[in-house]
Amino acid sequence: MKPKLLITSLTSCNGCITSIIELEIFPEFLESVDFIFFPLIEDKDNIDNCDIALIEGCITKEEQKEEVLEIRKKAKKVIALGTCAIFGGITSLSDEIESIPINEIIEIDGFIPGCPTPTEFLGSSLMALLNGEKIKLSPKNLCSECDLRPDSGVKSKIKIDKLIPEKIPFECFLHENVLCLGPITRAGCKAKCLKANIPCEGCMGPILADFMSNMVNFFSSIEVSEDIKISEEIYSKFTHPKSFVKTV
Amino acid sequence: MKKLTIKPVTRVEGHGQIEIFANKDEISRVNFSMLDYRGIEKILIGKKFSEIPSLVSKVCGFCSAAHIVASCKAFENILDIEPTYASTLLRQLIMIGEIITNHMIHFTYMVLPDFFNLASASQENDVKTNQSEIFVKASKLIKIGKNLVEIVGGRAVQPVSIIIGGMSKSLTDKEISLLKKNLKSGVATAKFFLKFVQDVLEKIDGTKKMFELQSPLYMGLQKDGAYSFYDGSLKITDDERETLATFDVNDYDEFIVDNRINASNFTPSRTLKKELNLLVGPLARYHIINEYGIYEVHEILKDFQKWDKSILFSNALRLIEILVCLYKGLLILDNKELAKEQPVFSTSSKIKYENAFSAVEAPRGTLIHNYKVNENMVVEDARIYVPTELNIFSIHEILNRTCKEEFTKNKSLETVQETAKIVVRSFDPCISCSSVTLQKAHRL
Ligand code: SF4
Ligand code: SF4
Repeated sequence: MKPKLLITSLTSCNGCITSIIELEIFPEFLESVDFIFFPLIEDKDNIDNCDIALIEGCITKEEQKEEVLEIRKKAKKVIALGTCAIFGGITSLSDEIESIPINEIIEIDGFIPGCPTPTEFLGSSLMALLNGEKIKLSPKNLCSECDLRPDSGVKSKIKIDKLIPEKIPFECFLHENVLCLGPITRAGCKAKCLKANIPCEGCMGPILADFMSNMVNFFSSIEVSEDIKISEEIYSKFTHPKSFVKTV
Repeated sequence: MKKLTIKPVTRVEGHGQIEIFANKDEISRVNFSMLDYRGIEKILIGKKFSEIPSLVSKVCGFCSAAHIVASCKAFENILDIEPTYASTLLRQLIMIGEIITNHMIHFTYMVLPDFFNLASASQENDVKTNQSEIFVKASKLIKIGKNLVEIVGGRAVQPVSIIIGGMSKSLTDKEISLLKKNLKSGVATAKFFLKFVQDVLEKIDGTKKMFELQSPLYMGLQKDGAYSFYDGSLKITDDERETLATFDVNDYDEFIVDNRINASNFTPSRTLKKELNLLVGPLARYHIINEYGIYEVHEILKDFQKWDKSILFSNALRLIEILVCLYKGLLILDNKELAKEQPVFSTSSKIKYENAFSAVEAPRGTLIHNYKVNENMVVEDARIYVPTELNIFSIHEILNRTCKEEFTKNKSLETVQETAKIVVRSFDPCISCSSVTLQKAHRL
């Protein structure tokens, strides 16, 4: 019997679901599962019993809370798809709406981080799920995948005063005074941004604990210019809650 | 009075809802509303401008490149700098990849099921039997577009190499030849789909309504009368192809009434004093340009001309644009400048203008970004006009008209619901994009 799947999105940009549709294996994926609910491409509009539910996006409305509770009841496994679902995502920067990660409302059985979820990692995670296995999250930080800095670990005398590089990096961005969040970000994307000469902004999220405590620790081990230190978007581009204000 | 709600509207991007208000013998009103609000415009306020491209990339996972390019161009206007010619070529390659994936995903997963139904209702089932072959072919084109964005942009969704002032990554010779091979292999597939759509439209024609628009104002970006998604000036024409206005995007407020402030029931042009609905997107682009710049495409288009006011024609035009983009991409990849290009980073931070606009053609239509910054290069105000917002009154006009006609003819609320969904899908509304703001236009 084909596994029954549900894919839905809450408050999101749809980027993680787009990444699924763009997967090379998507046509075969379509053949090998039964979608009981996938409103983006399917007409069925009832949340029903299923084996795996993938939820993209965070909760910003009461009815979405009810929706995830309903899904939890009907799904054997619930997986948070993407950084919005697991950490709150970009709308965490909003003063108008509250972005609640789904795991604050329901228990989840796993998550696929990334904003958006990186292609290869997404593909292998979906395959693992279909085979009844766990999603393999890397226990290492992003520096382990980066060619600029294979040795990992923060050296002393790092001074950060730039968010955007002004030239192609010759060595680790941190040594060129550009902020890169590789040291506190989970590996898994194959250092995609770094390969395009752009520092990591941390979209895969931390390996342990929350964004904030990692950030605070990291910033206390290096020197960071004041205007960068107070840039809200560095802390909350991917995460709720805003409680860091109290901690920093 | 009876109220029917279709929610969610399946096979559209994001969360939408259609409400149909019906009396015993007539439909009084049909509403299409978008239910998401993410307020990204407000989030941008107070942020350093160098952070904006990355933040706006999260407006929409489908057309993130269009948003990134639009924001970079607006800030390049503010700084009064120009990226190198080759940087603009690289950006166009990314946009081409995005147009191909967006149009093909929309066609395959959102429109095709309706086409299968429309066609089989009128005639035999031969199109249906080919379904799995069609999915395989479609996924080939999606892959071509995706690889293009990924190789040039660093990531397949939300590319990172487009930065204010230039591009952080260039292409190696090996990448260039790989991409050429890919794009070439897509041409035959795109033509296959065009033939397929032509067959379906022929079948439906006469038996079904072709969902014709009532004289909208078409708006889009063009360059010297030719198809352009990256730069040029905006043009407005009527449905006789008469040019009513051509203007620089920085004069946007002079020409287009902002419905968020003016709360009227149409998105008209201020200067033209015409109370007509605006339409952007593939159909509008087709009406405002004289040429796509590719001879072969115009030959193919001749077979479609008779439907050129039907909103269903947009579905063929998306495929036409895929073909145009494949050819254009090949021309760019042949450009010698591209191979010589090194990544270009900008170090400029002197503000020349405090307020600037930019326009690009996103897959779903004209996309306008407008920023106001202060002397510390912090954003004070941001406005993002997305295609679906600009189209909202056209969507309502045709939605109401066709549903009412359908009901008068068939007296069946069920077919009215199906009609409503087909009309909405033909516009390919993007609700993620529209969630940047929540204004009257969205709530109607
Ligand atoms: S995690 Fe990022 S890419 Fe995924 S839905 Fe959220 S904003 Fe979009
Ligand atoms: S390099 Fe960092 S920001 Fe870029 S995709 Fe990987 S984790 Fe995300």
